[in-house]
Amino acid sequence: MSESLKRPAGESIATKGTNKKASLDYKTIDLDEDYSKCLNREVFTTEYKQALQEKIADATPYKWGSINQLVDESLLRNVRDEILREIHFTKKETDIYKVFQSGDLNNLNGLDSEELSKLPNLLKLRNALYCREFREMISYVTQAGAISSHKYDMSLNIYHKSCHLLTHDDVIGSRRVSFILYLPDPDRPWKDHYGGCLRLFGSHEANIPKSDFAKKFMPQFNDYAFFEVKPGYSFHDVEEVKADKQRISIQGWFHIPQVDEEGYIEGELQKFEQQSSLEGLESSVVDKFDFPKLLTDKISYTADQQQKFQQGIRFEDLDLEYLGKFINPELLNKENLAAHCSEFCSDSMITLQEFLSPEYSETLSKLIKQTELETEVPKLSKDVGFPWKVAMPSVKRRFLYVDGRKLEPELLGLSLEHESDAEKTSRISAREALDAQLPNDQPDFLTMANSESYQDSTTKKLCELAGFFDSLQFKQYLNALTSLIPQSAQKILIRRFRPGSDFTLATTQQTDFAETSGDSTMVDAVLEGTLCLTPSKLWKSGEFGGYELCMNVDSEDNDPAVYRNASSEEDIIMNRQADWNSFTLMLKDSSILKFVKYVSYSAQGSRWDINCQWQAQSFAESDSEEEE
Amino acid sequence: MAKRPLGLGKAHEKKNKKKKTSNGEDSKHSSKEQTPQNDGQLMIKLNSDMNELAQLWVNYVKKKIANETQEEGDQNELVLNGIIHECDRILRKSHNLKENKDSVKDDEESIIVDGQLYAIYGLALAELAYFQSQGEDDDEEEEKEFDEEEEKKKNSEHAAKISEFFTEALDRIETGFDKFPKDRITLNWAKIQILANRIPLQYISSMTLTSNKKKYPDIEKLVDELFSSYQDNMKLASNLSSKNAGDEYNDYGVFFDYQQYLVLDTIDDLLDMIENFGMNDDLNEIDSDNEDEIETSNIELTKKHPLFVVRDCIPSYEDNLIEKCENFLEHLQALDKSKFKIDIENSCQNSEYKHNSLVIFYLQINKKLGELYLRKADGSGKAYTDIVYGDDQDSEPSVPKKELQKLQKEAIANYKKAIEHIKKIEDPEDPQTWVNIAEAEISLGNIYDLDSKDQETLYQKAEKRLKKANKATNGKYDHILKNLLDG
Repeated sequence: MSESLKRPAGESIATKGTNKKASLDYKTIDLDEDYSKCLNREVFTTEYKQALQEKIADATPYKWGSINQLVDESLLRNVRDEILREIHFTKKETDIYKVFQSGDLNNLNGLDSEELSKLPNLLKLRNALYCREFREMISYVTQAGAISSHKYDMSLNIYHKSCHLLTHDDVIGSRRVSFILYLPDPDRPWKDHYGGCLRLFGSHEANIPKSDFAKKFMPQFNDYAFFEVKPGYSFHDVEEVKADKQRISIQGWFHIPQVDEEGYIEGELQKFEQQSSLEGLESSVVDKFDFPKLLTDKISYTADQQQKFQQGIRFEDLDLEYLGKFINPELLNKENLAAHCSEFCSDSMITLQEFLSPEYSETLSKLIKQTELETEVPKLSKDVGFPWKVAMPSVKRRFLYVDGRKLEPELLGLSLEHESDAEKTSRISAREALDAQLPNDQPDFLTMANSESYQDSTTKKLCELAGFFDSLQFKQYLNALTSLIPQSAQKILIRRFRPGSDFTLATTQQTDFAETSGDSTMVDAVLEGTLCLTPSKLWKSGEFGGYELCMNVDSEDNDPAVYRNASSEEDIIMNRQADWNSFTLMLKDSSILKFVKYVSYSAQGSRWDINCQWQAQSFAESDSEEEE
Repeated sequence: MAKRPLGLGKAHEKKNKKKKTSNGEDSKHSSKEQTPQNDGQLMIKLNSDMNELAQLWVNYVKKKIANETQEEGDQNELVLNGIIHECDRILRKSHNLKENKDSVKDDEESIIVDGQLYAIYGLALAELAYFQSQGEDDDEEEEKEFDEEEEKKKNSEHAAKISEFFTEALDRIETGFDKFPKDRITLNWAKIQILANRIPLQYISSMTLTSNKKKYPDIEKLVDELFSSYQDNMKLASNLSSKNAGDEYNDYGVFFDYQQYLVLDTIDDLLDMIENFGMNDDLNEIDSDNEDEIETSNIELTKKHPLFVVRDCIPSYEDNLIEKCENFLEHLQALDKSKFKIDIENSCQNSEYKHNSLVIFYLQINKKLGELYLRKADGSGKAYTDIVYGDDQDSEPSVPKKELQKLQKEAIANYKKAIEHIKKIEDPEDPQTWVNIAEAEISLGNIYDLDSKDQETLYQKAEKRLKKANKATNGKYDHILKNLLDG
């Protein structure tokens, strides 16, 4: 079962509308006029350039640099005032970002002369940042190659508290160098605990950024950060703003010279464009580092069991005693079960509140709360211990999970950020010793739940529950609830989405199982169940993220940004906030785009859930009208 | 066997198609929605002998007190509108019965018209004024681009609308007084509450730094009147309760207490608003860890400003409020001993008692007292530390030693009181409550002599609490802890 990303995570938020406004307004300004006097003259001296070039050449995790106090201070103060006075910002939120953007003014190239006349200082600044002397300086210090004198683009963003932009590489079209000029309050220094830093990520391999950032840059007024846009490597994010502060920034790009320009190299642009993030993300190398793996295990039923399933599990066949240990007895009542089955068959989705029995729910809630309050949540990958793993790559997802298996060799051997060689050796041997508790590579939650050498009661209880989801009795209950026969189980995942860190980006799944298996009884959709087990409060408003959102997209549409245009309420199928003890079951076909929104740093706790998926078989009749 | 489910995408398309063809007639059902669709109707569980209207009101107030209203969003306005419609319906029904237009049937609901009904009617109307002001703010965020003239016009229409709500609210109370003088205590509470709400919403919200007192009523007089009316009503209430000393703490008593608590809460908000007038825009930009910045953002008012005089009276008003809150706390504790068998102090963190009114009051009033004592302590504490650790610390203090000791003693006593109260609301599941205690301990530690044993002990206690809170919150208090340890 392969998973594909419908959009490039590397797409910058600032490019919306760029295509529409691609014809640049060259006539309004003379780019080569020397505006460099608005910039700090020191940066043009040979010594400064030389030193910066060396610094950038040695920079990690990739070529990047910064300049303090780049712009004439009074000009930049005026620009800031102008932005706040003249430009209207609106909040935009998707799976990858939350930011306030400047509506039509998002891309300054698209402004007409009347609009530009209201922004004289901003225009002056733009001309300075794209003047020949500065372009040449940037080209020299980055050694990235020539920079276009024609193509330029800049945009404005404000990050308020809780705004963020997740990991991406900025690769789009002909971008050669990305830059950010920061304009927070000029009279109050930005502090580390405000968040909002630019964070740079190293890569395991091309297109596989590490889960933890390597460097971070604090956004002080009049500081300028820049880096070479390198497909598959220049990964960065904007850390969530954690305080009630306005982090205003001007984001821009220097481009590869266009046809007929000085420095134009035939074929360079095409080569660059071919290396776009989207292509990279769909490559087989990326699949190798996709964790958790969407492996499926064929479920073995005895002939008798298979026959019972085919006939449809009757209420009398259910092992109520065993099910009742976990599931709320109210849901195991015959009438309720029939009603739920009818609802599921009609809507292909159902949410059962208070899913676990009151006793089980209370015990588990206490344990999870205790873990949240008494144990420090591991922030870095190297601190994540058995049996938890970190989902990756961070251009698609980041969360902690337990899948009941040993740590995969690829994960075990990874070099983690902020880890010394000695730490790595010790981590690997410790993990190998713990993994040895698992008898084989098959999921084995019950072994972990009962292990005496493993002491974390919360994880053990969650493993017990995951073991229940894996049981025959639960599959029988699923059949009674959905009329479907679970045939292959994908991983059952115990997931924890940490505040200020974790998310999944929007993905669809290929579900042409009938065709690929040659079995027409296989359903072309995935049966997915999510038991949300988030005990903390204040999730209802969605302000702290952690919600699960499902949208309907046309599977034929290959536009990677398509989900963003589906703003109509009609396209949003489900928006479930994190909560305690609700089980959502859905039959997800290939037209469904789904993600878990980044959990805000300000959330009171993590989002916890158990997520499972099955390929399913159905001997029931299709609704012919709907099949047309 | 059931039909094969279509898959979510197709099922959704089918539904949309059906919706379009039937003009949305069938969109009511669904368990997949986050909140059940209710077509604007509210389902609230009623489970006591209190009449349904009073229960609706108390439910609304409970949520408001527990700060749960933020999560409810538009639901609150809906609840208030529901309450107003219910009051209106009862009054019309009662009127029709009197006029013999409706006849009483056996299964007819009993109609109770009394002072409480008029009090609730007035209070709900006044609360709606608050939503009027909120609504305008939201609109402003959405759409900034309108010209100044239009803005002025909009503001004055807005002010007129708010004023109308308060006039209507007070009108209901006056009618109540006329018709049910025996219910004057309930009606008095409602009137004080409405008048206290009117000062910020109708007057202060329209003020700017350049406002002139000539255009506004005398705010100091209005605040004085609130306190004296409160005092008068307390006297009336105590006479009543001493007459009914043997009675159980009944629903009527609970209702009384909600009214009294709400008045205290509203006055507290009002004082806070007066004290911080003009600072709102800057306040968000201030660091909690940078006292210098807080100091620079204090806004000076001109003598002509409508809040100039009243602002100077804040310390004495706060003392008055502390006294009233302490009386209320004593009243709760007395009730607890005489009428309830729950150990209020030890039961307040038990989820079983989460919705118990007595527990709600106990937690909230302790929280309020903690905040009030902190504010009081911060005043003398800052004066003390400014002198002792200020820029001129090398030279002899300009304030006599005795005066200095008095400031220190006063600050210590008030911080101790504050800590006593905020410790009572420490919640084992809410790290912010641990941090509140730690911060107060640090403040108290700052007042003790440098490197004294008292200071060290307090810093250590605070550090322990902060480390625990930091662990539980993914490092949210790193910067406070760092400040403490670096200091």
